[in-house]
This record gives sequence, C-alpha cells and structure tokens, in this order.
Amino acid sequence: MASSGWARTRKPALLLGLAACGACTTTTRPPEPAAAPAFEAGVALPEGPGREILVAACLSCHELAALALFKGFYTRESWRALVLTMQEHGAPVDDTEIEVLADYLAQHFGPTTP
Amino acid sequence: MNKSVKRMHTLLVLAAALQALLAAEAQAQVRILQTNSLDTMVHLIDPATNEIVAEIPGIPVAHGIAAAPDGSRIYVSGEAETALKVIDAHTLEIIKTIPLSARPNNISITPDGRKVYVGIIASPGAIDVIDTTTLENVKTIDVPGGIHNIYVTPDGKNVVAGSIAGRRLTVLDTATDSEVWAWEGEAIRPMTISTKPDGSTDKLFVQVSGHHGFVVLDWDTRQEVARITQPDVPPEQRYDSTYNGAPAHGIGVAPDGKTLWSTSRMNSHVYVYSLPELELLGGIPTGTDPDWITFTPDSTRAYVANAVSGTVSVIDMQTLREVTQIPVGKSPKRNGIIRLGAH
Repeated sequence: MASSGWARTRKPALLLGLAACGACTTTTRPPEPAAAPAFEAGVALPEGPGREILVAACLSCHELAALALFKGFYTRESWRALVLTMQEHGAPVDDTEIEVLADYLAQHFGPTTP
Repeated sequence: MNKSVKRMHTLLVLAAALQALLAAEAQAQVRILQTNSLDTMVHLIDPATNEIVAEIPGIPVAHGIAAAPDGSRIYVSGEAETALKVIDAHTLEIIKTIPLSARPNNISITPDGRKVYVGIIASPGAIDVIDTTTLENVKTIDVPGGIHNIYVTPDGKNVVAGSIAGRRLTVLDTATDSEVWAWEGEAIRPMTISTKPDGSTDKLFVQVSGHHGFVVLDWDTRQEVARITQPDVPPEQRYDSTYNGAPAHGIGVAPDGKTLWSTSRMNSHVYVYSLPELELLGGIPTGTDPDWITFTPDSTRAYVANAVSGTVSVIDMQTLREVTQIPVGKSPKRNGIIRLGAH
C-alpha cells in the first residue's frame, strides 16, 4: 500500500472534530490580504483547571474562534461527548483530563455562561 | 455566397446565439452554496457574476449543506445547535430546526429529495434520517465509528458513509437503510463517486488520512484498484500545517463525468485527472488550504473553498486557470449548488 512521505514523517497532534472536519487552520504564515473574516471571536480563555489542557490539546489544530461559536449551546454532557470524540480522533488527553476539560468547558462555555 | 448559403449561415448564427442565451439563462438559475465553518453565515454566489448575491445568517458552525433537487429548500447541519436547519430557498428564511441525535458533520440528500442523511460524528457514531415531507428526524441508524462524510450515490440506491475514528467506509441500501457492505482499514475523509453509462455506481474515489491523494475503490468488486499520489512541490512552497492529518481534503467528479478534481492542502493546489484513465491533466494554484470543491452543472466552472484564505477560488475548467477569488466568511469548507426555480 503506497502512502505519502508526509504520512511517515509527520504525526498530527489532534485530529478532527471541533468546528468541523479538519479545521486545522494553524498557520505560520502572515494573514493574507485576500482574507475577509466575517467574524472575530474576541474569546478570552478564563483561568482555571482545564485551561492548560485545552491550550495543549485543542489549539494546536483548532482556532479559539470555534469556542465562541459553540458558547451557550453545549451542556457538560455535550462538551464531554465532544472531547471523547476528539480523543478517538487522536487528541492527546487521558481519561482524567477529559473530565477536567468537560468541567472547564461547561463552566465557561456552557448554556448558563453569561 | 448564394441565397440559400446566406440563409443557412444566418440560421447557424441565430442557433448559436440562442444556445448561448439558454446557457446563460441556465447558469443564472444556479447558485453556489458556501458554508463557513468558523462563522454563522452561509453565502450564495451567482456563477454568472461570481459575486455573493445572498446570505443565510444564524447558523453557527455550519457543517454540511445540500439543496433539494427541485430548488425549493436548502438543508444545513449545525454543529453548535446539534440540528438540521431547513431553509426556504426563495425567502432564505429558516423554516424549521430539526433536532439531531448528536453532533453532526456532513449531510446528503436523495435524488428524489425525500430523505436527508446526516452523518453523526459524535461517538459511537450514527446516521440520522430526515423525512423531508414531514421534516422529522425519523430514524437513527447505528454504525461503527463517528460519521464524518456521507453521500447518496447518484442513482439513489445507496448511502456511503465514512468514519475517521472507526477507519471504516459503510455502505447502506436506501430502500432498507441497512448495511450492505463495508471497507475497513483507513480513516475516511472526503469522497466522490463516478457512474457507469446507465447511471449506476462505478467507482468511489476516497481521500484517507495521511495520504496526499486518493484511493480508488471499484464498486462491483468492493476492492481497492488504485492509489493515486498527487504531485509534490518544493518544501518551501508547501503550506506549513498539520492539515489535521488530511493533506488532501476535497474531491469531486465533474458533472459531465470527464474529470476528477482533488484538492491539496499541502500544496495549495487543485489537481485534475481524466476519467476513466486517471491521467493527471494539470494542477491549478488556489488560495491557502483548499478544501471542498463544487461545480456548475455545465462543467465550465469549479469553485474551491480556501479555508485559511477565507476565499473561494473560481476555476475555468477548460483552461485550468483560476479566474478569480471571492472573499467569503471565516474558514469556508463544504459547498454545493442549488438550481433555483427547478420545480
């Protein structure tokens, strides 16, 4: 079975899920003039247990803007399900970290968050 | 030039003019539907002018999009709301929000417009079936692994669903909504389908994680018959990213069935292959991180969503050149077309 050299030499840190399939928009290039974002997140990540896990496990592939779009919709159960799905896709989080992350997301991005 | 020759010449000119007029009219009825995965807006592009002519607001984290074949409705899966949004194509108002069993990804509609299949990415994975007559979620089909992308075959007989976590491609019979076969061992990304002259399914072209190209599956034998790797560019010309594990993430067969188009996130190109030979016809530079692709029904223009650029590349399918880039929303991904007034 042939495969690209890329596949042998690079390991994606976190695969898929949040904010859609492969929304890995991390870039080392400066923004392009053609870009015309219609939405600016303005998301701040509050301090608390779970923040560092989120930064390490999620933001290597996903933009913070996604959190703003999900804010207010997901209960702790929904956030936990999302994190579990991400773990299945390769997110580097263990079972303990899943619970901490679910608590953090529910507290700061859950339905009752002001 | 004698009189009859002159008359014939005039008739030919008139016929050509009429044909051009009809083609322009047909094009005018088509809109490109462009989702923006980090936005709340869906954009509608007129391919005659390549301008955004309408917007559908109020859908945070839109994932899949599909239009009713009769042009009456647009369906969009919303990841944040865990719902399928139903939009009146004439007023562009959301007329119903249908709750889904869990967080969705992509969707597909049957050729008769009666059912929308929704891939459920949330573990353990499922497919929701929406009855478009009652606008109800009528069935949840259990499948192994969260479903990322889902397609109804052009003949309407089957559903093809791909899972990344489950490393599985599942094929359902639309008459029974039950599994008929599966292909396992690869994390399945976007797919497209070619047909035989009678309209039945011929080949599946499947992008898989970690491969810069696509796999060709023969429908009848259910076996891999080819694995195409797309061209390389010098490392300094590559877009530096993890590509979320999918360096190629967007693929489509042109409506005329003559070419296959596959995007390269790694190279910021779209590559064109002849069908059925799969000979490389060319590579076209696009914006950064090209993802999904759709076509005008007359196979004259391709539209490629550039996720990082926030634009859509318009490609002339005859000259294989980019005509323009249209600024859209943030992180544009899935796209499609609607034929307005088709009913």
